[in-house]
Amino acid sequence: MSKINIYHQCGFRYSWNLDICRDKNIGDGFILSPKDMEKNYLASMEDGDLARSFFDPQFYALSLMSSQYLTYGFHDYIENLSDYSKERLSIAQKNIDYQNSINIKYLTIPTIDFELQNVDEFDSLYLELFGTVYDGNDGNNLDLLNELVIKPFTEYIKTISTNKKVLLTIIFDENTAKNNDKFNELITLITSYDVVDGIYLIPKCARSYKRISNIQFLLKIMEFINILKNNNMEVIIGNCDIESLLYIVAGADAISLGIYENLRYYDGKRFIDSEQKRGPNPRMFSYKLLQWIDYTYLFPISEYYEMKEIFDDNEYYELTQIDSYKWHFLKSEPYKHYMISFCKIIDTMPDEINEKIKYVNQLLTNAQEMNTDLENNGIILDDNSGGTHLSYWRTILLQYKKKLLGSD
Amino acid sequence: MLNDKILKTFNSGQKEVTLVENKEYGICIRKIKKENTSTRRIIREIEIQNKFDCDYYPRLYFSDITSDQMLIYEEYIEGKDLSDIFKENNYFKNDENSCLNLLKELLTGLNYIWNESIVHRDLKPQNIIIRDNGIPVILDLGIAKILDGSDSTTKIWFSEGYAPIEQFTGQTKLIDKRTDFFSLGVIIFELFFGIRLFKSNDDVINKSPDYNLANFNNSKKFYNILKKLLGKRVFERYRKVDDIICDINKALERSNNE
Repeated sequence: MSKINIYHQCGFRYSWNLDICRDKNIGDGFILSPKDMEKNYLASMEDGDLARSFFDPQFYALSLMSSQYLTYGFHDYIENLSDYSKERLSIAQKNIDYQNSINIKYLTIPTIDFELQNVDEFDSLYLELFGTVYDGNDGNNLDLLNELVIKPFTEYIKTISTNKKVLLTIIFDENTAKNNDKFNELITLITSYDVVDGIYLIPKCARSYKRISNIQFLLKIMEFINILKNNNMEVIIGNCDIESLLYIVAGADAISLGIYENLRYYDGKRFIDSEQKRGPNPRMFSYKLLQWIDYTYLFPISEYYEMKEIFDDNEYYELTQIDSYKWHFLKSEPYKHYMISFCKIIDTMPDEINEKIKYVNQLLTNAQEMNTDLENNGIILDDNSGGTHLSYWRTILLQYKKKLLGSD
Repeated sequence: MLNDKILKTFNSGQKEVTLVENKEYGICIRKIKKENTSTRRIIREIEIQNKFDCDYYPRLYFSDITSDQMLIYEEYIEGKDLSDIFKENNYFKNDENSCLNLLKELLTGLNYIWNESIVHRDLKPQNIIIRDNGIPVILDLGIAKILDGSDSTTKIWFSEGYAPIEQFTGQTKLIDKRTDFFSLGVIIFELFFGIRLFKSNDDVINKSPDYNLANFNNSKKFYNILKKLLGKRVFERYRKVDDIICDINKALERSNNE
């Protein structure tokens, strides 16, 4: 069996992640979130927990101003890219010095989500930095990312003494999947830095329903992961949900495990302070259906099936089954149930690539059959609980096998 | 008036290059600007050459360059360039160890410029001379690219058959040390198999190297090294110099143990 590392993507209610990791040995470490964890808290974490974790500097929106984040003092208020640009060298230095001063596993170079920035200032900034006109293409944004973030951080890292490996954060979006030139430029750039040991890869893709089902996006990100592995780079996928099964097939070394949906799916708006918070609908993860099922379906399902055939019967499942249980997004049990259940699937993933494909394909096929069975019993799952993603994912698996591995 | 004794005159595009005997520097190479030529490339070459003091580059004795005039004295290296060696004898042909040792030396030499974020961009047999002690000397840094954004060269310079796709198609953003890795792969292939790998840019795009030529005894490790140097796309090549050297050492070790 291969050992896939699973990092808890910390965020709101991160104590649930800490609890299940410490008490039940679920997961291998934490992706620390300064948005939610103040500096003093990190300082008080046990060495053993820190040593298996890494810090996400969360520059995505740049203007992040949560009270927790401000405790780190990486910079004063940044309103826009130009502000950041002026301070970038000292910000890189402070950020890396901090990461190097605590006992964490990696040094992480952040990234900027350009879709969250004010496009109006790109022209003047680009002209100032490169002496040429910003023409709005993706390559220009990559130039900006390189100049504003990657270079200041890598240059500074080269000057310090550290035995920590270096991760570079990269957002892989739908444009990168669609545009071969951007794909090539991005992969060429990020593989060019000797000082970078691995990529902290953030998938960013629009969804119609809860699961990412964009075939082109998923196939291209799998190709991307495969290329990174061929370049001997470590690949850790952040903000991912159960589609991480596909990332593992492509060779990812580690995936993330999040509680709430906004931790299992990248949405930069989370890093903008004005974010409107809304409690999610309570759901229960089904290993058999490979889906999060709206809790109201549990009743009809229990009428026809042994529930443990569909839901992992770990202790947290049991806790949701008592009559007085009140389903609410602030209750930890469904999330803890998910973490245990999904980790079991990952832990039994075979090592060899063809076996991995076979294993995941079998999981998907079983889920499709189960969906049909439910329908035959008159249980029609809603679009967010249903199995439409399964056909897409099987197609992706088989296409990946054909195109990248050259076999049927 | 220069008071040197001229011993030999070489063909050179941009400058008048002669082997001279100079009172102060002894036998050395003298370079003088030709009329109507720009000194920009030459200034760049001197700037780069000045950074390093090692056996892998000709030593610079004296330079005085302005936009109007130029006088350079540099070390004369006795030895043959790889192109001559290739034509005259079979020293590297079908000899993995010699090829790998040469590659290792070239990587060590080129690492001086790569560490300064400079890419040579014109590696070919004519630009590599082997000293009598076997150390290769890397010449012609005139079109080297400095990867700090200050390089304002807009013209696409390259040597056909040795330059990879990203270079001759002008994809300047994709150029880094891996561009030189490709050229090294072409050179080593040529030395080992005794044939030019690519005769044109079209060849570079369309032709896949044939590593299974009859009567050649190349190992799987040697094949893997060449294959990873010669990736068509930048990210299909080696990423780090250390990774190549590690593979070379493994191949040499295997060979020595046999």
